[in-house]
Amino acid sequence: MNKGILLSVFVALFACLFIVSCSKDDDPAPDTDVNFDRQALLSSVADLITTAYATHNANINDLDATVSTFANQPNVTTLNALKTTWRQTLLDWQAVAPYEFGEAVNQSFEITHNTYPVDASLILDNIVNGGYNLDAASNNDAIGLQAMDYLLHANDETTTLQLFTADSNAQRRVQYLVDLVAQLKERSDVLTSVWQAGSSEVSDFISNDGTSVGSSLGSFLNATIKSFEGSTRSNKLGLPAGALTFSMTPLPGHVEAFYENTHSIEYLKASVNAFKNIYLGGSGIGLDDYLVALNAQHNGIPLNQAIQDQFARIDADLAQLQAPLSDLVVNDQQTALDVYAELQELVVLFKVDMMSALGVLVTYQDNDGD
Amino acid sequence: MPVNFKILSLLCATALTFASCDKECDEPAPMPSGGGNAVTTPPTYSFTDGSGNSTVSFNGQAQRLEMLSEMTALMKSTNTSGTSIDGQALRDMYANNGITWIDGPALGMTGSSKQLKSKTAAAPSGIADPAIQAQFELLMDEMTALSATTQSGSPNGGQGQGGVVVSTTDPSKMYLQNENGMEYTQLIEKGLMGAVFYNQIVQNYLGNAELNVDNTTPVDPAGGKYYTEMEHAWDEAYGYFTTATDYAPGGNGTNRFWGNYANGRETLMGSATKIATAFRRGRAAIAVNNIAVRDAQRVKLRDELQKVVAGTAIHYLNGSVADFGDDALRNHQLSEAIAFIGGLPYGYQSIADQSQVAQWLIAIGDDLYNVTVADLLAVRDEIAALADLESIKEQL
Repeated sequence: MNKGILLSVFVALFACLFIVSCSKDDDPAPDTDVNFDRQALLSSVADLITTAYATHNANINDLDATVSTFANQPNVTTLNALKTTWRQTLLDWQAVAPYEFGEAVNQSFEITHNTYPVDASLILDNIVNGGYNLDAASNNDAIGLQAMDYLLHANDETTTLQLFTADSNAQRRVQYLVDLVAQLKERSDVLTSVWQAGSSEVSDFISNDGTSVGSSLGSFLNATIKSFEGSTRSNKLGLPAGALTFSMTPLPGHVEAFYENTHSIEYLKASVNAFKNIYLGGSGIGLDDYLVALNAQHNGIPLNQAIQDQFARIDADLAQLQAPLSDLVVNDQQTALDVYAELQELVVLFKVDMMSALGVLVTYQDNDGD
Repeated sequence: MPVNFKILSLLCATALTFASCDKECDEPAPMPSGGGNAVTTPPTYSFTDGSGNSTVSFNGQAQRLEMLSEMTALMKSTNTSGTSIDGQALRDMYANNGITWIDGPALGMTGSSKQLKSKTAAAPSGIADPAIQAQFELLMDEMTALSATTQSGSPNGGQGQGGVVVSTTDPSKMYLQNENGMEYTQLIEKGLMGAVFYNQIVQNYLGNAELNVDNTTPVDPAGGKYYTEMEHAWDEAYGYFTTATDYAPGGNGTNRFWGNYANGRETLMGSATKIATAFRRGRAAIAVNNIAVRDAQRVKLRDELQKVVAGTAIHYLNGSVADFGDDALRNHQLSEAIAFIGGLPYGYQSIADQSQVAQWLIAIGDDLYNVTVADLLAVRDEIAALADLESIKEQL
């Protein structure tokens, strides 16, 4: 079975390479003969992005407020309020992650928010030594929601409170928490102000309705599929399950929200849901409508149906997973690998079939060859 | 001794003094015999004399490209932990000092007088700059020493620790990088692309001294040299760009060096098409002695090649931001970006002088583990503004 998965991964990789290498010399032909309103599609996407950013910004403001309250009065009540806000923020974050293009790149939004596994000793060094620059690349593993996960969940409640109140570095630890959320708030505020309903960023996004490199569709789809392939398929499941290591050794410490531990599968589900929502265009015109209009086919059935069937298979598989994920990848690795293989199927449907049908070039893989 | 921006800025120091002089001394000079003969641009870089003999020749350039290819292959071998470079190997390859080359294309490299070192930062003065040569040799020495410290099967590079660094997002990718994340392979390979190939094309062979020469008499037909001096100079410029006479976007000649990076900028900038067309058209113009058309192509080549250097630097800055969370990939691409930025001053009437490049390298920082996205994007934006790439800077 492992060999089967490896084989399918190789086949997929080969297919991707083939697409990339072919498209170097012949740009995909624009589908001008199909009557489809791409601006309507982009408008749906823009609404989804606006909603996701606004929700996230509200969460970050809540997080900022609960951190302040906790910093002023660290006790069981304020700690639990903070944990609750943190969890909601990470859950809703899953709908923000797919849009890492444009201003989100300028704010390095995903890396700042959700890099894991974190480096616990680096976090502790920063707390003890101070003088850190959280924006520096060297602190990527010590910031964001996952660093907060460590601070809030690495120890039992009593010890956690003790570390924030009585420990010799308690004040520094509180300050680090404050600094972590301040960094997120600063970036989220910028992104939300640049991207909001009626802003030029949004109207430009909707009006730039071609399919070439640099078009809105090109930027958005490349970001979204890259996110699904890298952040969701690989980071949330593939790496912890051992699908990406040569020896296929599970890496339970690589699950998202490792210290909170019980909800990693929920974040994965929320992430898959976010991509499904994107695909369907929320309640508006979506990629599904576009593929139907193009009459795109896959192995004798409509590509739209193939993609929706694949989402259904993934949903069914995810429903079977027993938390926590860090135990599952060790005790029932095969189940995790099976779900990973289903996610990979969807990567291929998106990256190869859909992109080819839409005439959009995959640009997110460096093809300079070294 | 660690690589830092001071060394890197020195790499381009000398080229700069040349650039300013050029504005006055390299004005297009009208050629007495320059007529208005019609120029037809051929589909490939193939030209013959009246008897059908090929007049195209750039063996010296083909050798130097192949030398850098062999050096690069050797340098990349150190990306596998436990693989070291023999003491003088890189220096000797650089100077073609007693080297037995693999010479796959059978160019006669072994025992040849051609070398990269003597053409380093050598145009337009004609004299290679010893300080720049020494900087490249220092990089080679540091790389050789670092490669000897890696242990087979134990890639242990990271911040403050030189060694092989493995990508966290794609473990099949790993690179030998020093304690500050600088990747010697990129600094040397891309550095020499700027200090030799780019410099030789736009400052030497497209300069008046090489180009405003005889265009009537074949150099040595009995010896197989059916070309005029002017034809040969243009061919030598071409040979530093690519050795494929049928170079085309996505096709032959796009596997390495400027032919590769022009192709990488093809989708957004059309660079491969523009450069290949200008080379063919300029050469066709020389064949019919139409100097006005030749000079128009020279302007296009200098302009577009500079855009490729700047656009590629921007491309890698963007890549380093996209892979900001992956030390190996970020520092790999930043090393490339730094080398391409350092190549800019070797151009003709460059958009960036020495102090400008030094300022950018300071902004990026000495330690690639401590860079910030905001700083990288600020440098990108400044380069884009100067290179007239503002509208596509985010897509590059």
